[in-house]
Amino acid sequence: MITETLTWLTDPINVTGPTGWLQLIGQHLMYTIITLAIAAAIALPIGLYVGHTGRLRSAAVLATGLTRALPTLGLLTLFALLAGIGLVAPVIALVVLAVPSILAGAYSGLESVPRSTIDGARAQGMTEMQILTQVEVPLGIELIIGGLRSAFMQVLATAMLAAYVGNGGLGKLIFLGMKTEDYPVMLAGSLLVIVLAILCDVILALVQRAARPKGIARTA
Amino acid sequence: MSWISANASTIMERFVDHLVLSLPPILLAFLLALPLARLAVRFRPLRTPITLGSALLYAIPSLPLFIIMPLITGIELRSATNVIIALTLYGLALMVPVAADAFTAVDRDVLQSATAQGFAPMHRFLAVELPLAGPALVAGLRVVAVSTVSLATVGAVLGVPSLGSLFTQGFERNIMPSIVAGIVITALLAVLLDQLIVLIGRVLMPWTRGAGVRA
Amino acid sequence: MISFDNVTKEYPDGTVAVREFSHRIDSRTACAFVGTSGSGKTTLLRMVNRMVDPTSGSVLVDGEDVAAMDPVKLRRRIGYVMQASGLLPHRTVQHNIATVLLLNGMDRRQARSRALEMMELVGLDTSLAERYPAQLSGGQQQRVGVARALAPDPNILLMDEPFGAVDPIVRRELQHEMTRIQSELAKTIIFVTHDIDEAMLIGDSVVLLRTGGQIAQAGPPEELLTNPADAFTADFVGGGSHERELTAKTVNGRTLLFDADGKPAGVLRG
Repeated sequence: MITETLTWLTDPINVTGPTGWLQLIGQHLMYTIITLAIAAAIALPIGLYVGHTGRLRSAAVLATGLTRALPTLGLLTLFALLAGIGLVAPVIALVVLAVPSILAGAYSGLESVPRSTIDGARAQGMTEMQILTQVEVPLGIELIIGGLRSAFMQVLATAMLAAYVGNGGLGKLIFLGMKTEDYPVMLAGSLLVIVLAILCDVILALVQRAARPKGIARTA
Repeated sequence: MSWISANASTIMERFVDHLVLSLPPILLAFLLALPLARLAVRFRPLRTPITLGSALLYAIPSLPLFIIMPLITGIELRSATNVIIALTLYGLALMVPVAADAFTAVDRDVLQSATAQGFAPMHRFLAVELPLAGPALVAGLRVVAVSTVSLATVGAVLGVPSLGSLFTQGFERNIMPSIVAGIVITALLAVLLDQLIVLIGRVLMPWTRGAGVRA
Repeated sequence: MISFDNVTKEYPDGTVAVREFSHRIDSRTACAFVGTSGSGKTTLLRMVNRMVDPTSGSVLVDGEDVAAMDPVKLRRRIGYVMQASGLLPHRTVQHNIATVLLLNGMDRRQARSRALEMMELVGLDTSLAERYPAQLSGGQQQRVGVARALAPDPNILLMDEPFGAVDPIVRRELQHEMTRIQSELAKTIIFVTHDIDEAMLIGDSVVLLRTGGQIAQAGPPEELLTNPADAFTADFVGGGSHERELTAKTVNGRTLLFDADGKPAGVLRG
């Protein structure tokens, strides 16, 4: 089984061909990044607002909790029926999934900054914008990036299901294999996704660590 | 609504299927995570591999995990057992780091005074350590429950019946109410389990009641 | 000069932190606000740089109502030192001290050298300039806090229990350092503390507060000691209950002073 999978994976046609897995990985990453950019554009400003002012906090917590209880496959199929086959449906569904993590990361990042530090900065005469950009964001950056990281991972995972509602990406291999009862191809697709996911997670973990400001005690 | 009443018995069956898929992993993950986490805290060198392993495992998307599991376990891909094992692994990946943190956070002074009072190690674990780590463990279990209920729907793509079947069949046959019903029931089940865990936590740990009132 | 003119601070939940407080602090003098928690002393202090706005009444700085000033500009010309130091943990000592200078648009090099000057003024070794706050002791952090507040050369310095969190020996050191700095710079200082000894050491005048910002007594330290207005003051400063009275006795040819408990407190010189 494994040898069949490896043979399939290393066949040049399956690697660099027009529907080869390199192409599919590129497509998959592109979907993920586009979705994440849209989600971040929505969630970061709201999260920073909630974290800085403390306003609407319970609404944000509730929204985050509720969205997390929603099954991803359900959202994906729902939007696919609503918007039809195409890129729009999965992107909307994926954005809905990505927003809560980014939002939670942003406001909890700002909330993790000690009140006395912010108080001190304000008493020195920093404007609210300066407090946000020079104090709260740098000090909360690890959790903010943490939110982006878990959103990225979730979108990467769910983008695979997007192939189920008729789009490309690495999920294509899995569903192709499923339709043709070709376990080695399913396995090939799965292994590629797993390797991609772990690689992305490790890279993002390193980015997260590198962003930690100097002078902050290393806890973890 | 008419679709739902016409298919009430099917929905009920899928609901039961869903419980069969999701409850065992939640319980197993919780029970297995406790000794694993305790081990990770007790033997420092094990800590990094255990937490790192959890993080990597959690990074793996669910569908590919379902697909490669049979390769390792030899269990039939489209069986409930396969999904249950994979979901248990996810639960562990979530629960072990939380439990390890919870045990680490237990006040050492309290533990030492318990030892000084003559608690035997196992007794001390059950009577002191576990209750003190309790609130954090409950918080972790809640996340595991909500995530497991949601992930169990993915098995439907492979043909393992669950509430997720309402999505796949609704999508394939273009029945919107089926999908909406599936989403609502799954979310309700998640919220219900979550609140049930909160309730059990309050009953088992009366000293935490009202603790959240001011915070 | 700072004047509090009938200020009241009532919070939305109905708690009154300060009720109708009036007091004037002359320029270039240090005034200590002393009282237990709930006396409103910190609230009063924070009204000066508009970290808190009074519900009614006004605070005037050199005759100008602060309510009419832009809070950010106001804060940049008033030094502020707080208990938890409030330093930015991700910036070096030097950068922390230069914060307001840079906010005011001073160029980097000038701000750096000014920061080093300030370090020397507050008795910090300039070799610590590139350290982060977490790498300093509590006492050193408080010195950085003072240096940061003094860097833009403000006329007014607000100090909110600045030495409350350091151990007693270091606290005494910092208190004496502060009196030295004040004798050099002569700022208008409001110093909030719950320690009456500290208040009398630092303050040219002391305002003793009861709950809700009610003045129990205000005046120079000697007056509070020698002429307490009532039992509350007497009890607080300790003079009335003989706690501060010392008894002289000659032992081995030297005059020793004994406190109320009969423990030796010191040797009389001369």
